[in-house]
Amino acid sequence: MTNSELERLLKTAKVPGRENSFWESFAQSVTRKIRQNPARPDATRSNLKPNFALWGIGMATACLVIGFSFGFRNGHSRGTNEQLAAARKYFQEVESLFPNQMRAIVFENGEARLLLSDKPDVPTSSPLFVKICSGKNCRSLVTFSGQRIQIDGEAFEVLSDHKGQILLVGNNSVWSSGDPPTKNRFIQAQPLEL
Amino acid sequence: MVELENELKQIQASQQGDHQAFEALVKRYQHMIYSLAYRMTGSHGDAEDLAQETFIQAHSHLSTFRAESRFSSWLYRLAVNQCLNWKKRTHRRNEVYDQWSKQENSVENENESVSAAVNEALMKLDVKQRAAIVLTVYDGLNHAEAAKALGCSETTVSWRIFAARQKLKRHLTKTMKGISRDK
Repeated sequence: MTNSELERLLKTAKVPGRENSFWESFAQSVTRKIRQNPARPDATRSNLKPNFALWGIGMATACLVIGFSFGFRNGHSRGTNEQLAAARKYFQEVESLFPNQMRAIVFENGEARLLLSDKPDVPTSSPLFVKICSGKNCRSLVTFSGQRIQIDGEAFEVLSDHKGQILLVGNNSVWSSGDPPTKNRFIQAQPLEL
Repeated sequence: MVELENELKQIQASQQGDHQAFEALVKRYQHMIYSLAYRMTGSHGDAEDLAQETFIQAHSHLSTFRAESRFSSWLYRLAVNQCLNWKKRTHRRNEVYDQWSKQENSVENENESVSAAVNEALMKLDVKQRAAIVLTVYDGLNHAEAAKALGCSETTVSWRIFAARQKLKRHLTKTMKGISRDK
């Protein structure tokens, strides 16, 4: 199947029509909801309870970072398999505390940093383990397809394709997990089996 | 031109709290937003919720709208974000599959079963890949426009489209063979 054949086929699928009565009442139902809830729930929550929410997340994050730093420092010199096992354990703990909020866990210089979204808006997908070495400096991270990470100051989007290959797509370069390591940079990426 | 001026007046009136003016804006764009939401979810129920949520969000952020861009583009971007953050709801998802299976059992004409197969294939894509396909194929955006709406680079859009096409081709080739056999 060529790309143009695929496009033609896709375009045959129409959005099923709705009755006129639906369209007539839709706009009214929107404005009715706006009248009923003049202050949006998000706005209300953030106006009334911002400190409690932030303190809660802050404390939990601090505890996790301290715990992870200790655990990761102990395991810093271990092999990749053990790092994977540690990453798996951290991922499961963080995901249970902050479902759909985890953007990445970065392991660097014997410490772990947690990157959390302020809302549970991170789509559910399989976690990926990425290890990047530039010279003698290495860091690992657990993240997901679609998240953005920084490598040597360049932002890369992590993408996973249907064959399980992992692509790092930056503005100026693209790297695939199938590529051989270069002299100065070594990147290893694989799905984090749970 | 007159339409754009009217629209601007409606936006300004909505910003002042005029609900009727906002209702007129909803009526103008409800089909566009609903279609996008339906393509992204494959469900009337979710499309309705998403479209409603988009307009409600637009209303609450109306003060941030600057007339430098078109209202339709601003609204469209809000809708795309809503769709990307959409969480599949199990009962709705089941409802979609039920609808498709009913369609598959009862379709008398081939077009309907092809539509069902296309919808099913689209729903198998990762949400970001699906958005890239919906924006470029159905809504006719070029890669640069899609990148702007999706908040990513053009390269990323190209990768997503490439990956999505591979999956769609693989899935649809198999399904279409089945449909031709049943004819």
